[in-house]
Amino acid sequence: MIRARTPRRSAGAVFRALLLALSTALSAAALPAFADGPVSVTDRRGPQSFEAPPERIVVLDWALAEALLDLGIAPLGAPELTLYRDWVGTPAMPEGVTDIGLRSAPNLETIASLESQAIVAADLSAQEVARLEAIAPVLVFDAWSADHDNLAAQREIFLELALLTGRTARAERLLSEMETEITRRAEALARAYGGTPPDTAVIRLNDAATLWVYGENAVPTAALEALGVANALPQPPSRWGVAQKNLDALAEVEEGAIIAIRPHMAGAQVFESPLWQKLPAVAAGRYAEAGPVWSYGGYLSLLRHARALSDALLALAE
Amino acid sequence: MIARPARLPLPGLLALTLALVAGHLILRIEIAPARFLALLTGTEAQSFAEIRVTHAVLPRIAMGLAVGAALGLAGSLFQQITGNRLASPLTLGAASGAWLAVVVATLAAPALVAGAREWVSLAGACLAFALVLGIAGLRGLLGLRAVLAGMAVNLLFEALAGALVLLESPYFSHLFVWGAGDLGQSGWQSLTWVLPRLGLAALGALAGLRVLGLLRAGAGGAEARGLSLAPWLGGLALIALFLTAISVAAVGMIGFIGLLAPNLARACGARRPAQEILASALIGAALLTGADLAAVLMSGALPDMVPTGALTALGGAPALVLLLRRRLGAADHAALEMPQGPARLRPVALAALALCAGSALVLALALAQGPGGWQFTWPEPMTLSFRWPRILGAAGAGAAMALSGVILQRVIRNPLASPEVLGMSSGASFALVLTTLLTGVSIHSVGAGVALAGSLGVMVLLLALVRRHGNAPMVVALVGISLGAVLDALVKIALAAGTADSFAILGWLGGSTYRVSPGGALSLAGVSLAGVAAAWAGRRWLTLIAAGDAVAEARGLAIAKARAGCLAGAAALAALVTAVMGPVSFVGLLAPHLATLIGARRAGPQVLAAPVIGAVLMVVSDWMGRVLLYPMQLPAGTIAALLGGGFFLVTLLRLRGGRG
Repeated sequence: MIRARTPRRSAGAVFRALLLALSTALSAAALPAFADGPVSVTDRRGPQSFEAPPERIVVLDWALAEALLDLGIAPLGAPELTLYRDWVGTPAMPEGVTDIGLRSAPNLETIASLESQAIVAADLSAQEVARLEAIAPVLVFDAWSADHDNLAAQREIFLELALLTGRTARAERLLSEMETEITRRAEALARAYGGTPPDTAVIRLNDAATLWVYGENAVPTAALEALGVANALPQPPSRWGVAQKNLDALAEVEEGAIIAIRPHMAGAQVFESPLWQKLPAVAAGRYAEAGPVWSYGGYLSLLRHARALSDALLALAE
Repeated sequence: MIARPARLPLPGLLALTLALVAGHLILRIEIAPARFLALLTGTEAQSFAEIRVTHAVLPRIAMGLAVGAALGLAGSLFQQITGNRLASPLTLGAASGAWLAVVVATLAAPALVAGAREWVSLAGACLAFALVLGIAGLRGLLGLRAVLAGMAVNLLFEALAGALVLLESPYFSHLFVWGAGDLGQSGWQSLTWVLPRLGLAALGALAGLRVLGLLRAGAGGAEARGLSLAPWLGGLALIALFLTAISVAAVGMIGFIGLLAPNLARACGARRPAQEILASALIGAALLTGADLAAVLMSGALPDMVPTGALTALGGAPALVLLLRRRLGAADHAALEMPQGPARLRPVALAALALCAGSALVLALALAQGPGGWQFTWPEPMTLSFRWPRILGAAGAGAAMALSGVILQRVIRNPLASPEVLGMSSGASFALVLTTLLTGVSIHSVGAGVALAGSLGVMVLLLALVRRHGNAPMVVALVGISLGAVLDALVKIALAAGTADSFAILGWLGGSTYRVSPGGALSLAGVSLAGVAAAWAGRRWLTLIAAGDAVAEARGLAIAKARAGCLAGAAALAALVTAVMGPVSFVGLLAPHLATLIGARRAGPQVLAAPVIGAVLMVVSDWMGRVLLYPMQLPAGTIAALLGGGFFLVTLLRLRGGRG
C-alpha cells in the first residue's frame, strides 16, 4: 500500500525514491521476460497453477479489465464495453475485445466460444465459479467488501494478475512510478498550499438534492490519503465506500474543499441553487471538478484519481 | 347515500399538520428562534445555517405539504369519479405510467425530460389510465376489476422500467432514489414549478364540484337534468392524472397517500364532495409530512439517506388493509368473467399444444446467437450443460406458477387470482430481500426455506382474512396489493443506495434463470410434476370447491381443510419458484385462462394443460431473454411479464370489445 501521508518529504528522500524506481526499471529491463514455464498465482481459494502464462484472458468486471489493460494486455472478452467506454474511458478498451454481456450476468456461452486460457472474476459465489471452471481455469478474487481494505485487495489482484501474465517486472515498475508520481503530486500540493492542503470531500452529484459522498474503503478517498489530504467528510467503511446524502450534508465542510467527480449527469442542475452557492466551501471558492474517472476501478486507478484530484486541488490553490 | 350532518374535524386535522411541521422545524433547525422568525419575515439569510433553513428545510416541508395535498386531491378525485374507494394514482396504474415515461425519456431524449417533464410524465399517466379504462370499462371502474387491471398495468410497466434500468446501469443510478420518492430540496425552484400547476388543478377540481355532487346523487338524475356528465368526468380525470404526473415529476414515486387520504377523510366524517376534497388534501399533506419526518429521522441514524416514498408505502399498505376490510361494498363482490373456449379439449387443440411445446424446446435448445451471428445447431456438450438447466428451470417454474394459478383461481373463485396478484410471490421475495438486507448474504444464496416462510406467512394472513370475510375477492386482492407494496417499499430502500448491489437485487427481481443450477432445475421440475400429479388426483376437490361451499359440503368435502391444503400447496409452489429464480409474474395469472381458452375447462384437463402452457411460455421467454439483446441477457421473468402482460391486456380489451 502507498502510505504517502508525509508530503513534506525531504529532497533526499525523493532522490532516493527516484533512484529506486530507476534501478527497478533497469533490473526489469535487464531480466529476460518470464520463460513460458508454469506459473502459480493465489486467488481467494489458494494457489492456482497454470502450465504456462495464459494470453487469452476473459475478465468479468471493469476493475479487472482496467488492471489487465494497465499491464498492457488486452482481454479477450470483457463485459458491457459500450458503457465501459463512456464511464471508465481510461485505460482505453481496444477494438476487437468481445463484449460478454452484463457485468451482473456475463454470457457463459459467449465466454465458452472465446476459447480462453483463463477467466478472471471477482466476488462470485462458489456455484458460479464452478460453472466457469467448466469453461476454462478460473481465478476468483474477493474484491469489494465492507470487511476488508478494497485498495489492498486491488493491489493484490494487480500483482497476482502480473504474476499470471509474466509481467511482474512491469507491474513493479508501474507501482513504483505511481508511488513516485503521487509523492511528487503530494509535494506539489503541499507547496501550492504552503503546508497542508485543505481537508477535502470527494463527491459525485446525483440529482439536484442528492449526492454520493466517498468514504472509507473507496478509491477516491485512498487517493486523497495518498496525496496527504484529509477527508473532510469521513464516512464509515462500506462495500463500495459511498454513502448517499442530501445536499445540505456538504455544509459540514466548513474550512475544507469539495471536489465533484464528473460526469455529473442530472446533478448539474444543482449549481443554480442558492443552497449550493451558499455552501461554505463553494461560497469561499473551494469547489472544483475532476475526472472523469471510474470510482470502482483497479489498483492503478488510484493514480488516475490522484492525478484528477491533485489537478483539481492545484487549480483551486491558484 | 344518506347525507348525515357532517362534523369534519378540520381544526384537528389542521392542528395535526401544523404539529408535524413544527416537528420538522424543531428537528432540523439549528438557529435561534428569533433569527428564524426574522428569516420568515424577509430578513436576508446570512450564514449557511440560515440558508439551509430557507433553502433546504422550508422548501422540503413545503414540498411535502404540496405533494401530499396534490396526491390526496388526485386520490379523492379518482375515487369520486369512479365511486371506487380503492381508486388512486397507484392502484389505477397512473403513477407507474408516469414513472415509466420519465425513465424512457431519460434514456431516449434527456433534453425532453429537462424541458417538459410534466408532459412526458402526464403522457405516461394518461396511457396507463387509458389502458386500465379500456380493460375495466367505465362501469368496471366501480369495483375490483379496475384495481386488478391497474395492478396488471403496474406489473407490466415495472418490468419494462426494470429492464431498461438494468441495461443502462450507470446512467440510471440517480433514478433509484427518485423512484423511491425523495423530498430533498436545494432551493425553491422545484416548488415554484409545482405550486402554480397544483393551484390550477385545484381550481379545476373546484369547478367540477357541482358535477361530483350530481354524480353522488346518481348519474341518471344528472343526465335527466340535461347535464352531460361525460366531458366533465373526463376533465376531472385529466386533472387527477395531471396531479399524479406533477407529483411523480417533482419528487418521484410516493405510494399510498392518494389511496389512504380519501378513505381517512371519509372515516373522519367527510360526506359532501367539497368536504372530501378538502379533507383529503389536508390529510394527504399531513401524511406525507409525517412520513417525511420519519425519513429525516432515519436518514440521520443510517449511513445512507432513506427515501420518503418508500416509507409511505411501508406504513400505508397495512393501514389500508385495516381501514378497508370492514367496509366492503356490493361491487367489491362482483365476479369477473374471463373468455371461455370450447367445452372440451379437442384433439386438434392437444396436437397444437404438443407442437408448441416441441418447437419451443427445439428453439430454446438449438437456435442462439454467438459472436459469429445466429446459429441453428444442436448444442455441443458444454453449451448444452449451460442451456438445459435454464430451459428445465424455466419450464418447471412456468408449470409450477400455472398450477398454483389454477388452484388459486378455483379456491378463491376469482379468475384474476394468482400467486403474484395475491402476494404469495411478494411474500417470498419480501422474506428473501429482508434476509439479504439484514444478514448481507447475497440474494442468490438465501435459500428456499426463507422463501417458503414468507409465502406461507402470506397464506396464513390470507386465510385469516378470508375466513372472517366469507372469501370476498376484494379482501384477497387487497392483501395481495398491500403486501406487494410493502415489499416494493423495502426493495426501494435497499435499491436507493444505487450501488452495484442495487443492480444485483434488481436483476434478481426480474426472475432470471441465469443462476439456476442443475439441481435447482431438477427439483423445480420434479416438484412441478409431483404437484400436477397431486392436483390431478384431487381434481374432484378442485371442481367441488369451485362450485361453492354449500355444494362441496353437501358432497362430503371438508371444505376448510381442503381449502387450507390447496392454498398451502399453491403457496409452496410459488415460494419454490421465487427461491430458485426470483419472482415470476403473469404466468400464474395467464396460463389457467389460456388452458380454458383451448377447451380445458374442467378441473382435470385444466391442471394438465395449464402447466404445459406455463412451461412453454417461460421457455420461450427465457430463450428470448438470452438471444434478443445478445450478448446482454434479460431475465426470463421480465420477458414473461412483457409477453404475458401484453397478452393479458389485449385479452381483457378484446373481451370488452366483444361485449360492445
